Amino acid sequence: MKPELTKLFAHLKKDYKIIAPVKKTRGIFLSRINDPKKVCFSAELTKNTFKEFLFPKKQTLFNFQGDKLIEPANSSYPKQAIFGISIIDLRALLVYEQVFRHDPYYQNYRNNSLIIGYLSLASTDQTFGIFEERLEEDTLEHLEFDVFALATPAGIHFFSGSSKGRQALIGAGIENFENIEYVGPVRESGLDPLMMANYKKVKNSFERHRLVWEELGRRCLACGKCSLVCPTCFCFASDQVFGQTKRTGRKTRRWDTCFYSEFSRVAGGHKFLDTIAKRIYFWYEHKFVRIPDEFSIPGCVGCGRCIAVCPVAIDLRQTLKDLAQPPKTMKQLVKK
Amino acid sequence: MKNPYLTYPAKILRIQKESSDSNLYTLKFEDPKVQKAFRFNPGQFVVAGLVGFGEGPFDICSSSLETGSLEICVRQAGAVTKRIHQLKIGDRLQIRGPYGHGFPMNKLANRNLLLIGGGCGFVTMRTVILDYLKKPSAKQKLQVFFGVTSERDLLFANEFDNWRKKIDLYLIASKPSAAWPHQVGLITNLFDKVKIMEKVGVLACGPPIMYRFTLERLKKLGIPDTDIYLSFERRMDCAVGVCQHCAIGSFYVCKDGPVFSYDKIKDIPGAI
Repeated sequence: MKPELTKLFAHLKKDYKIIAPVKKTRGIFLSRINDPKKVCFSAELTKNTFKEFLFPKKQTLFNFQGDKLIEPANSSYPKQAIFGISIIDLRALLVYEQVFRHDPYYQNYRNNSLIIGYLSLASTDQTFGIFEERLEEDTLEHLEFDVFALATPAGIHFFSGSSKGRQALIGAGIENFENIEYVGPVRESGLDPLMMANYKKVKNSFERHRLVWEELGRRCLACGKCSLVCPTCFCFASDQVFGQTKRTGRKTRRWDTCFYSEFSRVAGGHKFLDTIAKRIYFWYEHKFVRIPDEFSIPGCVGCGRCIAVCPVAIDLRQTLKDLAQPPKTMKQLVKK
Repeated sequence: MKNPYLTYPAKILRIQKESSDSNLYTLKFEDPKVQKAFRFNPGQFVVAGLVGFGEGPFDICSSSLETGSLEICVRQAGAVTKRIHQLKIGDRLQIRGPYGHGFPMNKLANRNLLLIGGGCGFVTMRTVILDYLKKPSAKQKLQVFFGVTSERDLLFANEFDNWRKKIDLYLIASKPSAAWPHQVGLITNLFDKVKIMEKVGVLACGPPIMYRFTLERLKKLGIPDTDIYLSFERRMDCAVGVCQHCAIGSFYVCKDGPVFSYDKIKDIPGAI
């Protein structure tokens, strides 16, 4: 391991639980580690993402005793340093930072976490051609992170993105680092042109490209795997769970997915998204239309995880290509 | 940081049975400060429920000028509402809100209004009516359409005589009993019987199918899309525009709605 990183991990271990990429039989996963020697520095995309550490699969919103609601104590949020987040996933983190800006639970997790981005110049581009992972001069100033580590042939080059990050680096005895001031998620040159191109393809396309969506609806099993692995998927549902003693329990929230048929069900039984075609369109619409409209940033960061896990080989790149074509009529399809 | 999911206990002051499956609840927050700070616009909603059971969105249906209490009408439709129907006067509900944007009443202050409510969607119209009764305007008249399946579904029936002193109320039922004295048919049939006022603003709340046919009639009358306001129902969880359940295109029914002008949502597939 690079000596600078050894120093950093040794320092962080004092205050933080360390989460870092670890090689397992099925790939590289962000995992809790005790021994920094286990960290994988290949900078390949991890199978899982930061999201389960900042927005757990299930979390308590309130404990209740009778009618009284009690918020979880601050000590229930782990102090964690998450190392090895790629630029692609930092772009997804931007979505979370916007979406959960007013969410006290996310903010508690985030405030207790140290986000450490990582890129190795030696690694190959792993994007799926949707967005690029290239590090450009202005890349880092549009990302939110605490520390960023760039592995170059000459050694690790560090950047700090927050005062928390600076403190961590100085505490570890790393004096040689660059300060990056976050200037917001959107580049000075304006909205991302690729985001805008995809926006036009997807927006209101359900009727226009009915055959594309219906075909996807036929193939898709609505298993929800894509939304589980997607680093920008964050929808949730809440439940009430009773405790062991009388009139006690918890209000919790858990990850949900718009692929499940219950997602849009209202009291009385009506489901507004009553077909898989409507639900898969809803998913694309969220990524390529709703998030850009709300926050001016892409809702798909091009990590390709949805493509890798889909059991019926639905490929987002192909969908975007199909939507760029003039809409097909039934006649044309029959001829084919 | 303010917790948007925190609910406040409100005591049930009064329960009025309105229809075979709906009760009207008059509520007052236990904390006077919370009650005092609670202000809403017609068309807004609250999330109400019971600790340990769950919660759901309910349109507020009391007058927005009434500051000492609020009212919601609860139709028994699922597990939470079933439990709410078991509550008695003096019991408590947990409330958070108000949420969303209601009808643009300031913009419509000097306009005649056509209110169209279908079934339990009518609930939100009561706020507009009660506000008008409290503060009638010489520059504004109200025509109200209320469509139900049968007389068993009528809401606020004991208030109609009082309402009729100042507003034109038209009732229609699609499958009433033989004793039903009003119009029979669908709510859109009222357009054949009633002369709609000139230059009206339209406020509507009802099921999607009602919107489809009502919009056709409103178009025939030449009412511009920007003068038609529709209140939407969707599944909701967070009520603050995060959880995605209620999204329509790029809008959230909880945060950007539940009221939308028709021009804003007409091109969005699946909105209606």
